[in-house]
Amino acid sequence: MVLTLIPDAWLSTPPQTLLVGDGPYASALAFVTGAAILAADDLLSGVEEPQEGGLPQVLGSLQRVVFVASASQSGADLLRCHRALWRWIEKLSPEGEQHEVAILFVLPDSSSASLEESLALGLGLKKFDPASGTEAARMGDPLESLLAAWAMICPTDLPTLRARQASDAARAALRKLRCQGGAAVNREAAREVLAIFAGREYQLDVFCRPPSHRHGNLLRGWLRSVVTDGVTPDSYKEGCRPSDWLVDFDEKR
Amino acid sequence: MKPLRLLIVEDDAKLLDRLEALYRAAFAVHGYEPLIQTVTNVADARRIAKSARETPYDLVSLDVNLGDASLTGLDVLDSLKRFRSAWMVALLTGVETDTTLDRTMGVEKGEDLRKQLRRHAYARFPAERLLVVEKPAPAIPLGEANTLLANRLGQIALVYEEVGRLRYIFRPIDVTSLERVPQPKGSKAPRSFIETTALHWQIRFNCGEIRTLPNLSGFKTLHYLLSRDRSASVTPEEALAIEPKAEKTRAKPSPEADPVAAYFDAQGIAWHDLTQDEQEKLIRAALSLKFNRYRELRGFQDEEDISTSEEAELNRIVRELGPLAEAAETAYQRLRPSDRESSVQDESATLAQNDLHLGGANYDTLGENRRGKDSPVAALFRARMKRVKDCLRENGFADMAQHFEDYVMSTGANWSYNPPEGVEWTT
Repeated sequence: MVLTLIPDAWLSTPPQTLLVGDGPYASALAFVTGAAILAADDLLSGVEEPQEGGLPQVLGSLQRVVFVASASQSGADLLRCHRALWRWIEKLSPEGEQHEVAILFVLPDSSSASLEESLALGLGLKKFDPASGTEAARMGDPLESLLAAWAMICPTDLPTLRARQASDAARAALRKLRCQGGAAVNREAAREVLAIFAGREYQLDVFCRPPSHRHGNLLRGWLRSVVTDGVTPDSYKEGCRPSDWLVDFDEKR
Repeated sequence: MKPLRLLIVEDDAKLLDRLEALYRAAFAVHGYEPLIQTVTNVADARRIAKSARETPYDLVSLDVNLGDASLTGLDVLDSLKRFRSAWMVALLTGVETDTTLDRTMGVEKGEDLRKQLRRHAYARFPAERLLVVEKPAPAIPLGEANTLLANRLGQIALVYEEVGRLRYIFRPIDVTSLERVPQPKGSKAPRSFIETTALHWQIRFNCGEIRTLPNLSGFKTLHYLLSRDRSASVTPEEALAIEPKAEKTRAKPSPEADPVAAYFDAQGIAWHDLTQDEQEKLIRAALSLKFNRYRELRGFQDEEDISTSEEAELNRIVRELGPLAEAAETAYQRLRPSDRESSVQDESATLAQNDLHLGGANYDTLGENRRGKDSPVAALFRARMKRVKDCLRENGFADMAQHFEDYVMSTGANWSYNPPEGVEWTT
């Protein structure tokens, strides 16, 4: 994957607001709000270190980030962008992970409520709340209400987010599943996961590595085999483990 | 009484009151009057840590378990380090009651929680300025617990006093005057810095892979402190004094009047406090810092073989040299060789001949027979080091003493420099 160069404009005018997204809505919103714009793919590629070495601390004054979701992006995709954003901030802000920023997700009108729920779950929230540092809005919302929602968000840093996620029951259960215990331990962990996600198993996708939906399907199949059938599925015998499909929750802790 | 800014982070209100009173008593013994601020939760502690960058606390007394389900004192420690908002931290633990720690640190069952906690704490804050102290267990009767706590806070005050005497070693080093050496893309070589004016004084601080150098003010502070009598008490505030008192009284002309002075003042060097000889040497050192690259790029420019990025770099160097750019150009014209392919050796010889080589003249004053011997000042320095380490070990901070020793070994013990007139010291 080709790394992304820091836009020249950021060197002369460090952005206070960053808009991540593509398409006419993202461009228009960036124009109206005066935000710097970065395509989601560029964000995911990571930042390239200049040849002369040293990364300029151009995100030191970043206060707000807006993710403009496209219709094709899933909750898992958006959360991947969210993680990538923090990698940029860690590298390009002198405050690193302690940098506080307010984040707004602008979702397509056509997207279902489940996208919002999945996103909130991935961020360790029951539902979006401005006090949590992250809020969600819809593209159809009037600009005034969008900006008002934006202004209400309390900036937070990465340790706060990580701590919130660490205390989330869903993650705790999935973390157990990732552990390479014996079959009995896995069965117990699988039961716990299924109990937590009962009726909303689709949300497991947000905790899976890309391709998230395919890995989510494998995980759901595995869980059902272990809990419902009470037998070790073939995939397990072949050496496949939930840890192959789930993201590493302890990556930076 | 000497002032001391103390922040106490403790969620237990009763213990907080006791800590406040006991800290006052402990520091009063050493002649300090603490200005105490208290915080009772993680969120406020982190907010304060982030906002105290400009006015850092001398000591932060930090409880590990602050009653938050997910964030702990270790997260506050992260903020204190990142924002440099504490000089020293006393991390108070009550391992037997810290039930949240095993979850937040990801400790496996059966692991030694104390060991884990120390490892996590030292990974978050410079070990030579971090004291990990256990609070008396809750099972101990209140009277006895108070005595124990008073003893431990007394130890903290003592260590603060002793280590504070050497605070100048750990002052934040300004690296803005250093330039990173460009390295080829993909190279795994450790980053280093081009040595600048500090090399002129031959002070070398080697902290792991990053080589940093104190500026001239740091050197003067160091020199001032080392020349003081051992028995005289040095407060942290005094230790941070940039100039000896005698020099402080000297009238300083306005830097605006002299662009060269303004240039060096902007880099934190008290230009008008230097002797004329020192000023000349500093100019040469500053010039030679960027001169090689300037000369190379000017050569490309003369040959009309300069790329846009190289031209931009040349312009940047000229801007950075400021009032010294003219001198650089004169030197370039003078040194311009007829044969550009001359060997590196020839080039160095030419530079040295023209007195532009870094620190070239400094070695002249150093007698070969003195190398490897301690001067009285160096001996004094070592004696102070020993005293601090002994104090730490005697008070049960053996691991901190070891960190301290390792740190000093990697910095002070490798010193080899030529001090200013009147003082000779080599190790």
